[in-house]
Amino acid sequence: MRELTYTQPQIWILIGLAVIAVLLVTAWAAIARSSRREAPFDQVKKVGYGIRTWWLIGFGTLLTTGVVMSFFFLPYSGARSPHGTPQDVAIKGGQFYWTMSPNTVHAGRVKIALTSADVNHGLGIYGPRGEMIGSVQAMPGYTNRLDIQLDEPGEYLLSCLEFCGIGHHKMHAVLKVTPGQAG
Amino acid sequence: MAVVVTDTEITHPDAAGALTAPSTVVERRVGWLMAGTGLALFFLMMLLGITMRMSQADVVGISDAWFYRVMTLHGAGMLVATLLVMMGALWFVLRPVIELSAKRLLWAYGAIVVGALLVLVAAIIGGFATGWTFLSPLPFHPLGQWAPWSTATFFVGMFLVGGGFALYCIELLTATTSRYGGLARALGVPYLFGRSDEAPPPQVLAATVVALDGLIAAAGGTTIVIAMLNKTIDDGVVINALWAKNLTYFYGHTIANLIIYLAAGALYVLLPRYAGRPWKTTKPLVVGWLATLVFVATAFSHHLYMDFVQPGWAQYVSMGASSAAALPVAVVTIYTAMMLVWGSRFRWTLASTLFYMGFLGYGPSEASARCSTR
Repeated sequence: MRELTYTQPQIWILIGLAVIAVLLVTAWAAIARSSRREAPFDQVKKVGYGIRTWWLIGFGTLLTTGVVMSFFFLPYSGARSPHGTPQDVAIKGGQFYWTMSPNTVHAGRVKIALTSADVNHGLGIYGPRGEMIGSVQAMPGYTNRLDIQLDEPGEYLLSCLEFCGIGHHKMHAVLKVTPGQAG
Repeated sequence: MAVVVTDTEITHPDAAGALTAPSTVVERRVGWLMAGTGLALFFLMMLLGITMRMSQADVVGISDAWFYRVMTLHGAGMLVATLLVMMGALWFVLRPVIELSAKRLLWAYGAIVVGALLVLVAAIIGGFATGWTFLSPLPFHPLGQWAPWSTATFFVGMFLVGGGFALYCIELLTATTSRYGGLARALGVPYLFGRSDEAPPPQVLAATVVALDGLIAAAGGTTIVIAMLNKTIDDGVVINALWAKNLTYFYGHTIANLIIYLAAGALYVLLPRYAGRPWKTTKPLVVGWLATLVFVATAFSHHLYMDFVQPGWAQYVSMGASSAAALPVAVVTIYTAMMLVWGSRFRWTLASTLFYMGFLGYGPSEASARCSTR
């Protein structure tokens, strides 16, 4: 098994979350400290409701912007369009294996058609440096399609991410990505 | 400032009423029973959780079969534990304002506890190990790990847990609608549109919303659980995997989510007690709870983000609802709670301090939950 390492974007997310945590702890401590001395509730309400309007506008705008922006990155209805000639890879999950056809592709765009031979499985795709590239579920009776860029040559680890039975944690396979362009 | 002095503590007159209302011995016992059972189960499940972590760290050796049995039990057990505690908490604080029956609560309690025991038997004796999510058709592909009787026992257990919660929701809904004269009034709708000056207190808004969403979720849960039982008995039954996954998460996600909102209802009564300030129903609070009613019922589909055969519109609705659910929580409930504490001469006890720290956890966990739905 390869070690999974944290890549740069994840570190920035962690730093961001740490900053938010520090700010929140500070705010909470300040509010707790304020309760030592009494302030008339009418006054608190007057100021508090004023701030709340801005908090609603600010937080609401942030949330709406985040949601709307994320719509453009969702892999549904062609919202995100990978580039290059697609190479089709049919993958089937079963208790507790993956079958792939083909199991080697050129670096570039890959269209995965995934199904299951038995129960629900989750296909997690990890890049050569261990970072997660994508995830799609294998469901019996259905074919889930994922259009994805695998630009870096190397070995991509496929691991099951949906609990599927006693051998779930051993359900791994490798998809090889070679340098060069697809035909 | 005038204060009302009770046996052991000081309560602001505006905040009085809720917990200063007399409770009978039976009511107190029922409250303790819910809290005690739930907390005992919670600590037991914590031990199972620690055991799993120690196994992953190779400190203790557990076979794969036992690890997944424990995992299944832990998932279902944690949900039942926190559900019982919060059901009891909201019931106890609602008691002074609406008429609730201790007997009917005991029926709900009994159904849930028997259900949890059946899940325990299925996992520990029967070896049933599909995770709490029991996604079809995994229960029917045991690979020699469990027998049909344990599958049936597990689903009867799940049926009783859902049924017990549904009984509780019916009790709440009957009580709030009869006390305030209909569903719209119990939700504060006439007050919102200026047609009435009387608004139900915040804990009643919470109870009504939880009961409505809880009943819808229990209906979905009952449907999938009966389908699974049917297949356990007759292998010829065909269950569509996508349909099953939608119903499973509609049930499991929604009930787990409602536990937080049960807690919010209790918070509306308990926090004023320590702050000595009233928590009154305002129009933003009514809007917040009406929005929550919709968001909680539509957010579950984020568990199917990786299923591209799920209709696209459901993915977008769930994305919107999962994110927007943070708005009423952050802008109305947590914010108002902070206003109540600010300059209040808050009475810091172990309970109130833990309560206050709970908010601190609520903020970042909400934020990370929003991130994880991306």
